[in-house]
Amino acid sequence: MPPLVIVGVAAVGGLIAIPLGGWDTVQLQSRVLPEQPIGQPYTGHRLSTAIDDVYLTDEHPDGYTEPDPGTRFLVVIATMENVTDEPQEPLGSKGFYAFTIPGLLELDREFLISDYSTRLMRDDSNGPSLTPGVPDTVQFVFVVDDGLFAAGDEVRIGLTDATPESADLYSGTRWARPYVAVEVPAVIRDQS
Amino acid sequence: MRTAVAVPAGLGLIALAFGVAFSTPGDAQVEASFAVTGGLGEQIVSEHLVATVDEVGLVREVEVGFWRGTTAGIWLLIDATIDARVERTTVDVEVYVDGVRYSGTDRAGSATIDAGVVDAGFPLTGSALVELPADVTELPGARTAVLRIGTGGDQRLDSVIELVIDLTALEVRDSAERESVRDGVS
Amino acid sequence: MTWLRRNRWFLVALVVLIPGAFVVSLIPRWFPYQGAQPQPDAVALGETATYSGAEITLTGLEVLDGGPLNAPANADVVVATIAFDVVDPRDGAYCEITVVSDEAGYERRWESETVSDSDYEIPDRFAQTCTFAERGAYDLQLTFLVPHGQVEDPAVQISSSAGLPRVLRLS
Repeated sequence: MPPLVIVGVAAVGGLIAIPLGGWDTVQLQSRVLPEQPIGQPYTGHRLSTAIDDVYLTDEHPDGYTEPDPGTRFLVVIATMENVTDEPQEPLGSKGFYAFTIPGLLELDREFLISDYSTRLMRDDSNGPSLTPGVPDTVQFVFVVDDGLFAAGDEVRIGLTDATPESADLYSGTRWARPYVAVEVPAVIRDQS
Repeated sequence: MRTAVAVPAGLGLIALAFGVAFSTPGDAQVEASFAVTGGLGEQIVSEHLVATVDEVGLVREVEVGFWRGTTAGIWLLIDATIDARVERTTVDVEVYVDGVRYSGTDRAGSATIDAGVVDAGFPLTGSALVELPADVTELPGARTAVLRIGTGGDQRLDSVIELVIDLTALEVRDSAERESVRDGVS
Repeated sequence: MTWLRRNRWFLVALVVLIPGAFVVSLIPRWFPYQGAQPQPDAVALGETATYSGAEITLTGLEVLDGGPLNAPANADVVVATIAFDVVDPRDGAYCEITVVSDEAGYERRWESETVSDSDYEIPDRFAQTCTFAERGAYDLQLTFLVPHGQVEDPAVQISSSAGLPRVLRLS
């Protein structure tokens, strides 16, 4: 078969695949995890996220929640911007969290909603949602077992990304193939 | 002769495949809400709600009741009187600009008109606040932003109230004060 | 004319088949949907109806002027008194009582008050939640806030998850 025919057939095949969606899911993923300095935003398909601060404390930032015996609060401060076309919860849901904390918050692992809370730094409102195109600083408070983290430890917070696909079983976006895109090395402060 | 027909026919079929693929109505069209439209100051009646939007404005900082709202964006402040048409229902306010959905804020607690429920024949008067990006008036769709008042939740194929708003024509104020939601007269 | 004549039976078939196809397409969704809609059963004041394993009688239905009762602005108070006698208990059946009125030209509904917002107080001898779970008789009284002057001839609608799609409409 002449090479021109082979190329021609391949080209026509590729062309026909466009309306059928054959090119939609092609993506290249690098295996090497780049490092992202603290405070510098990484922009994925859902959020642009910069980790600003990580600290351990016994006083809940809300001023009244007491830690259970044997637990402390790990606080992560992040500046986030919603880059989608609808409101987003800052942490996201199971399977596609905005960031990961090794040993605490990992992709594809169930995480109880009662084990964390989110607050908007600007006005202390609880459980805020992020408006598209409006950056804001969010405080995440995680209940952690005493001893899981210590002040001075370096924690490698992973900033995640995933591919938005239109969901089949419900209306809206399904986040497919979530992965940790960059790692932010952060030293945990102690704020007692 | 056969090739002379086959090649254009093949190309024609490929073109047709494109035509079919790109002209098939998607979920967005098939499941679109049924919008009842109107303008500022008009009473607009959907299947579920009776609403009159009196005024809209852009404001950098707002006080509603005891809540002071700041934002890195800008607030669309909506003053309206709303009651249910048939039975008790929640109220949900959204703004669409260029297909992007912005929801009424729930940061103001119970002070805003879209925070709770309305009953049939008992109009409430109050404000709703939608946080928009700071540069929203420069977006291509800013002249044809859509303010949607519905009952929240799944609005596919449901009846909603819509007003088209030219955000670029709105005066931007530094601050505004509004009362909390209260009994109103429709 | 010859074409019409030649194809007359096909055309007749189309006239029958197209509406037929339309009706057939309604079978899987539309007819079940219609069948599942609440089917009100009218019962007069003082009459007893058997519903969801209970004998139910509307014994009183009054619309009180909200003004003298210090009701919220623009509200009248509807007081409904209903006698229940549960003879065949339905465990876990969800009971809902609303006031309905079509005086606005279409049907509107109001939910009962959980706490009275007016000076009208429900006497202690009345139950305030309806249940089909336990055998026995009880009298129930509920208050509803309706827009002032707009509801003069309401009906009380009782629905039980064990009785749907049938609902009772007492007035």
